Amino acid sequence: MTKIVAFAMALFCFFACGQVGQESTLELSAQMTSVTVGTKVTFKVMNDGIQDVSGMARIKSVKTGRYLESNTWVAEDAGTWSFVAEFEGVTSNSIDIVVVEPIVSKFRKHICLMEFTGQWCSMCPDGATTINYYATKVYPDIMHVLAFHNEDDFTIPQEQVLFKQFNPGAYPGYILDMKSAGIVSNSKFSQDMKDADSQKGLHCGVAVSSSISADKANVKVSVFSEMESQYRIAAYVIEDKVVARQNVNGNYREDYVHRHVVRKMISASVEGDDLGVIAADKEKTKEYSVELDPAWNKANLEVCVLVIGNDLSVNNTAACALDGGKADYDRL
Amino acid sequence: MRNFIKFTILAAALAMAASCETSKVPGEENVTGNVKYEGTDPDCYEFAINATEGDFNASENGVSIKIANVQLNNVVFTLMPGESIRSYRVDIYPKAILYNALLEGGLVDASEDEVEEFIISLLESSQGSGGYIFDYKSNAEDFEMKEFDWMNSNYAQYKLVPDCDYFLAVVGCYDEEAQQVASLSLSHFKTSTMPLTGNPQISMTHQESYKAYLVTYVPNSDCKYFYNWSYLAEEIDEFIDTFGETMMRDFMRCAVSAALDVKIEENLSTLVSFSEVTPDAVFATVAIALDANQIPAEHIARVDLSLKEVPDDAKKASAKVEINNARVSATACWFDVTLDAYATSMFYDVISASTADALAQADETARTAYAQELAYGGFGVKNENFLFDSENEKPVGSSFTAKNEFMFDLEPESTYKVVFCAKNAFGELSDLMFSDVITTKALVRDNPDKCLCNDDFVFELKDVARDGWKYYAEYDWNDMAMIRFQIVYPDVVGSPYQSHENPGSREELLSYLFGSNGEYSTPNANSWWALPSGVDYLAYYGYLSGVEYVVACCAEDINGVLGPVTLHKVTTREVKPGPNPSMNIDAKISADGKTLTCNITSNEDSKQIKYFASSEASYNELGLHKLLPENDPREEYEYSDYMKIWENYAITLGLQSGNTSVITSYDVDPTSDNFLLVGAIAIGEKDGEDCYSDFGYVIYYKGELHQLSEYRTK
Repeated sequence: MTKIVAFAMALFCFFACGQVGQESTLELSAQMTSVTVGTKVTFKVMNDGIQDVSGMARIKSVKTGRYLESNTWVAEDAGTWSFVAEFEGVTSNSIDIVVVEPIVSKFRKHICLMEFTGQWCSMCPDGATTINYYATKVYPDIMHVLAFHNEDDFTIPQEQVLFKQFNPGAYPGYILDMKSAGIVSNSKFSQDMKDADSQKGLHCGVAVSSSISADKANVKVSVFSEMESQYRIAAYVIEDKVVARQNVNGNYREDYVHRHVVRKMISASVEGDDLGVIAADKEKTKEYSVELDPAWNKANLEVCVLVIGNDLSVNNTAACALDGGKADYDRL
Repeated sequence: MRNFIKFTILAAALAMAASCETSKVPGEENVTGNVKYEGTDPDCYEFAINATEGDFNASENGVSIKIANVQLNNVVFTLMPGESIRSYRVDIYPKAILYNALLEGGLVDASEDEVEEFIISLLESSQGSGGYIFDYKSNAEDFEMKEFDWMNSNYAQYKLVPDCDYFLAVVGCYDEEAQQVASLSLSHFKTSTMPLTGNPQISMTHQESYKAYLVTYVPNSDCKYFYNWSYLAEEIDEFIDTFGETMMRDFMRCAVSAALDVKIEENLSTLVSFSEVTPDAVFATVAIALDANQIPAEHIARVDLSLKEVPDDAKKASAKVEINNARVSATACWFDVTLDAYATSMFYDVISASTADALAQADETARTAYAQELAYGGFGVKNENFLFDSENEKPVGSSFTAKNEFMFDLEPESTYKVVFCAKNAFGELSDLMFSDVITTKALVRDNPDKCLCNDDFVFELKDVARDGWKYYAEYDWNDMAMIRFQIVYPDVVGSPYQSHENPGSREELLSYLFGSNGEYSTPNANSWWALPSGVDYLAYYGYLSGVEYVVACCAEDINGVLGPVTLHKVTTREVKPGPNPSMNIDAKISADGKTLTCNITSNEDSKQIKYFASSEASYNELGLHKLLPENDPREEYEYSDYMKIWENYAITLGLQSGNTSVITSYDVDPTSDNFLLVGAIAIGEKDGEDCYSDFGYVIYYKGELHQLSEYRTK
């Protein structure tokens, strides 16, 4: 008997050893804490800072006392909503989600479509044909295409940064408004294109002007906000109609016309430069000075500006010619 | 096995209890803060594995692990080598895979050191399972503290799936070449999960024959994906008895590269076939249902089965091969094959006579193995007269003769034999059999006038389009053995044809046609063997437009004499896109009503046609379900909506052709209640920008062609 007791005690001691002196911590967070009605908020729950237990924790609305069915919540009413999470007897911090009524924007939605392509890619010309169709026939003047090239003469480092972040999956790929990504010419692309010009969630206008002096361009960007929100600006120099080699369905052509080639990022990162918070009905301006490569055809250069909102997607876009171009606020 | 497991767990528990008393935890002496991995599943036999639960604090002779974030399908962690470490190897192993490897390696009841040695050998393996090496020189910037976003890196061998146990293994090394092993750091983590959506379940039905079985999977509506695994039942029993059902579930999810989508019909059945089967063998197939988020159900499904027994009086199949000595050239031969009534099929190859003779003298094991290889990868002939009485398990058909089987690419002036075997209805292969000797003739390269084909052989490049043409050959079958042809101009690597003024000599062109460019194992030339019909053709589209090509061609007659090398020039039509592209669809239903053929043509302003046909998958997306009020009485689409949707579909998802004519055919059923829509649009160019023709279409419904205006739209 004594031996058995000793064994059991040893086991108890062993199993207890790991637990002495440790307290669990539970942290609740949300990617967005200020949203409009109808937005889906995704919560994250971390246990001890290591384990993602978002799927297992129970998240409760403090106001109603009801638990969410999953770790997402759709803001149905305006107001301030507090939430806590519970997991294995531990309660997390409380966070507030501020929900406001969506505004009806007075600006027209301009679409940012990033294309991922390569001179080596035999199917990419077909992808470009498809994108050109949407840019010229379906959404003329409001769809702005930025063609990022992979591992060829036109590659810039930001191509891989964006590709890894959004993972379109293959070439030709696309990223729409830094929100949705996939392969051009498949059904997801077709679905994404259907509502690409939706005004839903739009809350700002953007104006841009540019001039060139010697091998430098001076770009001025203005953002008018219709609600108080944080903004970032990403901007790129694009050269259109660059004639160069391209694999077309397995055969290389030397005279292929490459459209919308992204030559350079002007902002500090793909996430954009922080413009800070702009109050409702207020405007902020940012200026850039850009060195140009003399090999670029100035007549075909344009600047494309992406205004990125709180949810880290493109809220609105504008573009103009780099040499003496101007795009005013596009109001409905 | 049960008693054995209990004994081993008790022993391990005692060992662990002892370790608690002496404070021995993973990592080296005097390293604190490590929480030992204990295992959590009571059904699972745990190896004596020296791992932590989460972070691993190593000494200067090891690599510390800090796990930052564990998600459903990913883990982010940082590795920090100790001062003595100059390189390390890292990998992540699913517990199920690792434990299976340990079980297979006979390491049940092994010590911690032996298990550790085994894991280090996995990391050191130069084949698939080897860990990635990071050394101080190549990673100077972040060697001291390197973060890994594992599934977004290039290092992941095994995918991470939800609710699954993994071991992160790192072995630190004293040298930069990762050869001098210091110590192993092993950290356990479990990916997170989320509640199941619904109650995904999967069941299985099965059909057995003599050498194969078919398992069909039946998922319920909540089951969107699944994994399966088929093996000997006793092996699966051993795994489940040792490690539990949950581990079997995880093994499937980790060993198989991707979950099977239940929407893909071919995923819903597995055919498992055998060359040889142990009598009375019992097989098992297990499956696990997953929901839409690929979260697994709790329990696996299983079906056990045995194959049908071959009757004792089953007769072996046989076949004969008769060489057609009138049709043996320098590089090709022809022969007839006869299968007896017991044979479902026969398999053959043509090999050197000396190899055939050696094979005929080989022992039964070698001959059996060769016969199995033939059945798996050789050429074959099916007995088209074979019939089988399933009730009495007897063949009741008759023999079958296939004439003019052939082999080409033989060496001139050499001897060959056809080696073959036959298969009966029970999957049993006959012994190897051999034909008479085939003696190829000499290849005559220097007497083209003597080639028997000269008078009758016609070789043309016809129906020239923008990006290709049709190769066409016509000849007397009695004289012709082989036709070889290939493009030799322009820009062809290794071609002697430099220009029209300098096309290369006959011998240089023959060397090119009979040679290879070294990059590929196949010869440069396209090789067409002679057909009894005396006619052959192939249309190929994939060349550049507006380019002049030259094709060289040479015939080999039945005596092995090479005829003249003829040169054929062709210029693909140029594409000159214009501002007014137009297109037309001319649709015809076949006389039997089963085929719809559409000839889509465009004008020369068009640089591309994009076209599509509706399918089950795109039916609703194209709005076809709303064309008839009884199909969908809800509000109709506007006419313009249909045009817009169809045009968008053609551009985005349509097939494309660079020619001005495309002919497509579709199977149709006049009794079906479904529409078939075929649409197309042509793309031209105006001022450097794409421009488009009107969208054209045809609707097929119940044996007739229709227009959209006949149906209700707003």
